[in-house]
Amino acid sequence: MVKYRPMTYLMKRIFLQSLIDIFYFPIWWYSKGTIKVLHALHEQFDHVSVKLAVGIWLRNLFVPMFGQTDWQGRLMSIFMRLVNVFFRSFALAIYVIALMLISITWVILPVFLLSFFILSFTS
Amino acid sequence: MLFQKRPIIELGYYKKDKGTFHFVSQDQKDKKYYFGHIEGGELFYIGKTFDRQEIVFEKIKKTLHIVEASVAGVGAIVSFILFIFFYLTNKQVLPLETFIFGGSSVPLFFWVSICFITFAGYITTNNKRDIKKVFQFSKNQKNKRSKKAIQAHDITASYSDQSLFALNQAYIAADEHGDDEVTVFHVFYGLLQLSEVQAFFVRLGSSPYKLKRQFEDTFAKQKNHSLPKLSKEVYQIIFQAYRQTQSLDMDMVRPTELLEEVIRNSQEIQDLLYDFGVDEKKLEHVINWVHIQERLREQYKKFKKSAALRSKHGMDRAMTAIATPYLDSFSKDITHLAKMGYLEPCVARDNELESIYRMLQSGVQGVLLVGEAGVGKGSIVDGIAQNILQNTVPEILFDKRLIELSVSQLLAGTTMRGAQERLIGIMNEVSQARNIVLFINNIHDLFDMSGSGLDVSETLAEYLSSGRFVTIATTNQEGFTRVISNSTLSTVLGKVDIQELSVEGSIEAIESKIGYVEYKHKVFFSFDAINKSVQLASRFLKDIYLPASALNLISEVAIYTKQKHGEHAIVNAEDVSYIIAQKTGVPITTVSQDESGKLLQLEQSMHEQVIGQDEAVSQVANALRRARAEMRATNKPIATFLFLGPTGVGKTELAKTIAKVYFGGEERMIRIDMSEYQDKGSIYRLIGKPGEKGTGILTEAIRQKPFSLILLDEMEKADKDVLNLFLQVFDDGRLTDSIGRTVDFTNAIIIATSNAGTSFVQHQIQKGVDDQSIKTALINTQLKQYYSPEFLNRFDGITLFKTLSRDDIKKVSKLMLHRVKKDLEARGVFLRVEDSALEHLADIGYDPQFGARPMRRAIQDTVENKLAELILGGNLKRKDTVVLNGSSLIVEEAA
Repeated sequence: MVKYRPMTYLMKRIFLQSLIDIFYFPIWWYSKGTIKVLHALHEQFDHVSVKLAVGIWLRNLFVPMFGQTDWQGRLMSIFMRLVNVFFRSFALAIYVIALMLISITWVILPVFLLSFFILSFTS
Repeated sequence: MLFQKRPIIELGYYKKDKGTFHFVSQDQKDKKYYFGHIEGGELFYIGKTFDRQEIVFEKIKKTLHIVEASVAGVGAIVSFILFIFFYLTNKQVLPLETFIFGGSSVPLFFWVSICFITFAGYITTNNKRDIKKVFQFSKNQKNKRSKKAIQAHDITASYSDQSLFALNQAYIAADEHGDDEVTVFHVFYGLLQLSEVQAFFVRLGSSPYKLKRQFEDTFAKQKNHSLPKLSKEVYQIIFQAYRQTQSLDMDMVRPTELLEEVIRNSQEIQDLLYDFGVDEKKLEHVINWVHIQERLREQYKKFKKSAALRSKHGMDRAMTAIATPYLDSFSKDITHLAKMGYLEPCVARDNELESIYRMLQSGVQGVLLVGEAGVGKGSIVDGIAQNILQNTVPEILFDKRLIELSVSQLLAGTTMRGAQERLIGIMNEVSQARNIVLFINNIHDLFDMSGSGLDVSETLAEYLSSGRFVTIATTNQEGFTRVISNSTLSTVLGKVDIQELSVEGSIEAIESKIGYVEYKHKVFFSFDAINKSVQLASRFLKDIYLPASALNLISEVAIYTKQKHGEHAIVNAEDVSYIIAQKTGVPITTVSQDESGKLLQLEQSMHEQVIGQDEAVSQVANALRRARAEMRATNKPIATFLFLGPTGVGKTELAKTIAKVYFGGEERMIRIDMSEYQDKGSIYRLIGKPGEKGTGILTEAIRQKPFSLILLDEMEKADKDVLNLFLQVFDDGRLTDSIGRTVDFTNAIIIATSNAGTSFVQHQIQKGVDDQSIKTALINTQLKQYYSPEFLNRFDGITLFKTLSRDDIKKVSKLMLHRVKKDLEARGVFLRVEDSALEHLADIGYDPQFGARPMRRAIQDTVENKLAELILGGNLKRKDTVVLNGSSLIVEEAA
């Protein structure tokens, strides 16, 4: 009969856990890790899009700014709102591109690192 | 059972088969099975295993992850330093391609450091426990009855780290003490290790350390035991805490929920807590307090996020509004104050907020909040401002600025015409701005209350009725009835009555604001202190309404406790009672042993001032003892007595004694001679002339000194209508004065004296009829001529004062001479009274018809006159002794 040794059992589990921690890393990267990053980027996008409020500017395109209801005011207002919508959309687009770049980097980083190390050690 | 127990959850083992979970049995344990229950078609099970190995392993795993992350961190730093070193020492400039395609060892260090950083990030994020939100049933799902489930929810995954820590501690405690089962006691003990549970018990007013010690003593140490298992009760607690969290619509099971279920499931713990002064109601209140604070914390997080989007310059997000520089110089932006976090939370006012929003949505251009000072009108307006920021308001208030018009700034340094011009300027801006919600606090201040004809209300009404902006205004009941109800504004503004918060509501409001007071004064409040301050404020501080009255009291008590016990002291109920006793002069602190001895011998001490009249004295003493022990109805005066009897028998003297004993001084006695109120018109002298403030003798006296003894002398002489006025006072403890204010009599003792039927009484005494028969006959026949039966019926006691006997008169003379003795002692002269002198005084000063009054004259004639002559003649020197012997007065000169 094998005698039950709690310390040995614990040591084994700790050793196993440290192996899991190392080998689970790439799996985590492409599963939970990717979801987490995408989630965080999505939150960032939401935050910035609310802050830039392109929708609000677009909805109020024909509403005069600062209560200037005369025709000159209305004209100026439409122009200013168009300029705002343009620049705000542009800023949002830049931001989206940056966020996409981050997510693409996330996906290709392990592959790149692996190939880089292989290339470095083989050459 | 002291606490209500929750229904038992039927637990059992379930297995998964073809995508659904089926019931297997109640005790057939298997590693593959799920232990839990099905509710509303969902399986809830315990995913975590509680055993020694697992707990130890979890601890080590945590340490392992810290070590792994640290090693990765150090690795990242070292490789990055090496990269910088080699990069700088490299003689050639490295081309960028080497960073991508290799070819040099230098970029290798850079990418290695990146690898280490990502690994450290992975270790920390992956091992951070993601607490799963407590599953919430959709509508009608909960009532669905099913024995199968498709989805399974691990309830322990929704337990907070602290809650799991407490359960682990419970297991360790059971293991260390050699118990075979983890019981509710172990869980309770485990919970007591948590600082938040310790704070919870501080709020409950009991020491967590004492509780812990008590538990440690009860755990017996046993050797050679098997590994402990969770008892059935503990499983119930774990599931019930989850269910309770679901019903509270909260996201995770916190220690408070676990603690509540532990207490509900154990009679022994309940008994123990009962000894520490904790009952179910108190526990529920403190749990509610914790929930309020958690909810506020959550709200604050959301609020901060939405407030960040708000413009600092008062512009709406679509930039359609117009700047209002003129208005800004006469107002303050409440939404801006809310954004900056200066406003306190508004709680227990959901109904009022809803009715305001409903009214505005129905098309009314403004609302008028009508309520007395302190009921929380300002807090509701603050709540609206905070809701505007969080976008939880109807469309009409969406993205608006709530601006408070400062009436004092509007009227400062100008004439009425100037104020009107200012108002027109302001209103023009408000009408054009498009994003303003105007708030006018105490709108009645803009009306001319004095009747001189000049006010700005008409200008205001004109603009408010234009319907171009939303207005929120406040006023009190008096302002509403006197000026607003008769003006055009009443048609423009929808009225919302703001009632005084109930005691329960006020407790909640204070619990939400107590953090500010605690932080400011660096003290902690127990629940008892909050409860007591609300109870006492509602009883004694009637000038301001709840919750403001209780909040003011809380601040005062916090300062007192800090001064008395220093910082970080705990404020308890006794501190609150002490402050109220100081403010009002009414003894309400806990009766000390010394005082209780005095109270039990109240008759004796009262007899030092009142001679004879045993029945009256004992009746009064009983009433005072009841009042002091808080064994009386709080919606009536403390006591109401009718003292009957001839003149000079001690009726007024007894009233004075009561004022001294209960209220601390004779000056607390309000004496009203009812013979001055013999006609119907005199009623207005008591309650005030219609429409005129402060003219009622009775109402004003009691408004200024609510804690007094009211002596209504010669009651029988008052008009019948005046007497009827007192029916309400005796019954409900309140009276409405001429301008509609309710005056509170619940902290007063009312004593009416009457000579009615004196000749009848004396006649009966001469006939030798016993006292009780005389009293009955007097009430049934003689008194009916003066008082209606319902009037007599409302007194707590009707006492017939007896005619003083010769012996009594002798004692009275002794008391009176005592006063003379004191006067002489102030001049350094002593007085000695021989018994023969008392006999002589009794001979000349005893008249059964007039009681003690002839004795006063007798002392005046035979003692005081002679003493005056001696003093004026210079025949009395310091240290001389005046001896009263029989009818003579001798001076014994000092040796």
